[in-house]
Amino acid sequence: MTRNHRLVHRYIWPALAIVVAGLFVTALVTRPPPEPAPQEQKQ
Amino acid sequence: MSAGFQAIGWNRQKIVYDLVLLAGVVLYIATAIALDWRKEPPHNAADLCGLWIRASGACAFLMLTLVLCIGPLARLSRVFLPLLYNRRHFGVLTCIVALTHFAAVLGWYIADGHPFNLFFELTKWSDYASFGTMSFKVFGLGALVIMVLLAATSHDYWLAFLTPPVWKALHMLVYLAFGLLLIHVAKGLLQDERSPWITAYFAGSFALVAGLHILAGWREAPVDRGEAPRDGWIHIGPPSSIPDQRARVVAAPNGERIAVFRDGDEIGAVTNLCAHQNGPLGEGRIVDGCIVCPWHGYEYRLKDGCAPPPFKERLATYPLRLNDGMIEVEPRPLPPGTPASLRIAGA
Repeated sequence: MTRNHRLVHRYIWPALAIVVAGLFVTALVTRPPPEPAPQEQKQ
Repeated sequence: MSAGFQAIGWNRQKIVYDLVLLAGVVLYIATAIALDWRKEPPHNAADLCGLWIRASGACAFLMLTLVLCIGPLARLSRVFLPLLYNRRHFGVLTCIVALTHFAAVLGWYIADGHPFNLFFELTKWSDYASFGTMSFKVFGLGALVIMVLLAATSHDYWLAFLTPPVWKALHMLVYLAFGLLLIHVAKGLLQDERSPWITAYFAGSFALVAGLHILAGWREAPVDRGEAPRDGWIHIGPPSSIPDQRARVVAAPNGERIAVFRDGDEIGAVTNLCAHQNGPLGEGRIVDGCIVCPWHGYEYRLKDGCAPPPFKERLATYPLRLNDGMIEVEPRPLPPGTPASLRIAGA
């Protein structure tokens, strides 16, 4: 790899890790609550 | 190599590599479908498509995770170099598995009786107003488009046409594809799947890939900082400080790396970038007077950086001198193919 490719690697991965981790957590936090089981619905 | 066009330069190692990969994919998908089938047997064609969607999606994610681990692992340890040799076939097979995942999604919509619903879902522009309302399928489709682009340009024809630096920069889009794939999973599968183990598996896979790349980059940073030349020459050390048939890698500040090889009493310096894919020549070794690239086995003569006939690749060489018993290299590349090696009695 050229020096420039290695430089891009060095910066892109921490940035990508932060962005993806943020969106991943957001997607999990904002997911709808689980549907109640059929037995609970009857009660 | 470059002597003539071949769609794929098959050899025994590539055939074994591909057969192992193919067997792994078949075994993984068959096992995933069998387990899923046992849990919830399919009742119709849409359910069957659902089985394939889950199995092929999980397989493609695992394959992309493994493909992305190979590069940094090979930079961290030579043990993993054999995996790098045929990594492009691994990537292309990953793309094929992902395409079957997409085909099964289309099949599911057709079996469900609403073949155009996917198009309507993806073109509901108001959903793009916020991350929360965006369909998870957009992220998967984005990753798939990138993977198809990379698979289509993976051949050496495109490598030569685009030149190695541009080709490499284009293929770095695979990192973006992996990020999109993780969001696709988080906004899709993980919305219903509440097992913490499954969430940990996907998050851990991304942490592993990102961690390996960050670690490999951090380990290599000191070499790239380079050494300031004295009187225009970089000090290497006595000839014996270069391991026989191996190299020492140096760099001038802000300069490309230089691989200084020793083959018995002959010492030569060439660019560290292989003419094929810019692989790290300095991590290779000398066999029969030729430097062998550790990535794909491209060969160059130590004396002048030229590939042996009938091949035509040439490397930039660097001037060397012996100063008070110490080898020094001038970080000014000579035109590719210029003889520049030194013979030192008793080296």
